[in-house]
Amino acid sequence: MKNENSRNIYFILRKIRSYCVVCIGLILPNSYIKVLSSKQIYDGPLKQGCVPFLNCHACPTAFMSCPIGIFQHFAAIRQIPFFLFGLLGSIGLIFGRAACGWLCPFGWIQDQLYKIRSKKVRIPKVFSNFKYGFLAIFVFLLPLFTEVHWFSRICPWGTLSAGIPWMLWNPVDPLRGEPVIGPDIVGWLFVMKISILLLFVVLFVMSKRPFCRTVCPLGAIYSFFNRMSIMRMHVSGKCAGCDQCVEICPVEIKISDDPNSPACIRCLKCTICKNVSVQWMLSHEPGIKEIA
Amino acid sequence: MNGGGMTIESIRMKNAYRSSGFVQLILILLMVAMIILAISSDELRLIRIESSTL
Repeated sequence: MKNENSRNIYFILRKIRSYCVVCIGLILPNSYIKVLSSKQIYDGPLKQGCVPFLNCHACPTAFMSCPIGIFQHFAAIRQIPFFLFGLLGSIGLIFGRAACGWLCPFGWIQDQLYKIRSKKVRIPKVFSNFKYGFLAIFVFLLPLFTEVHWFSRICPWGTLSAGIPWMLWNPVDPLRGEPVIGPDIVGWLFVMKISILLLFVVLFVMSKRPFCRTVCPLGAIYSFFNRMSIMRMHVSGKCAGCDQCVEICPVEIKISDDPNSPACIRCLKCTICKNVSVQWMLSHEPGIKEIA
Repeated sequence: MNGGGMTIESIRMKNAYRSSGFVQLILILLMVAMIILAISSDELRLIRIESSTL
């Protein structure tokens, strides 16, 4: 009976996940409609807080800050961002990488684009280590030594949610009396950003979540917590190895081999199989496949 | 032995270590302390200044 209740809860959770991402991850932090009249980015008290997922704070309608943008800024000014470490650390320790699956709008967009019929390719597993390199080099080391936010320059989500909207709209800033995006900004950098975005859009159609798996520095940070988080995935010993979980997994992991893989985004799609469940470490044994 | 070369006993040992939960609770408290430390300093003001410029 308890097991049946759990299956029903997983079913409901799988159904509401998309709504959760769109409402909490996409609309809520980007609902500063007043920008249409003020023509200026929001700079109120909510910008003091960061969302725990990718959300460019340069987006015209953004209410809150992007953690990766803030990490770069603190590296550039050579200070330790205690707030971010505390925020991401506590979320990671409780839920692991669940924010990627349940809140991140960019991951959700990748899921939607993958549904377009086209030739599909699998990303080699070795590429999943590249995101640690992006985290170390583009988010910490380059901003530390050059004082330039290098990851923001290449981030396709920033281009899509901030660069393109500002470029298309380009209102006159009421304080400066000049267009927000001056002619000097539209140069090789913008062309490069658009090229990177287009490249990723093609990859999104052809493969499952390529940005999350190979580039996303926030995913890299959260992935450190998957093996030690309180929320755990568990595969029972009855798993027959049918690989149905691999087919439906948005990051193509075989959960029966490693239930708490650093790549797992805790989207719960694999709970469609009755052998996969969620366990909370403080009350149950953690999830490593039981071997009889 | 499973495919990765780990014995059942070693997996259970890892489980026992990971299932304590005590370390996780201490770490979460540490993270909360870091947030409080940040709020009491001017860190949030720095975040606001940075995220309010294009």
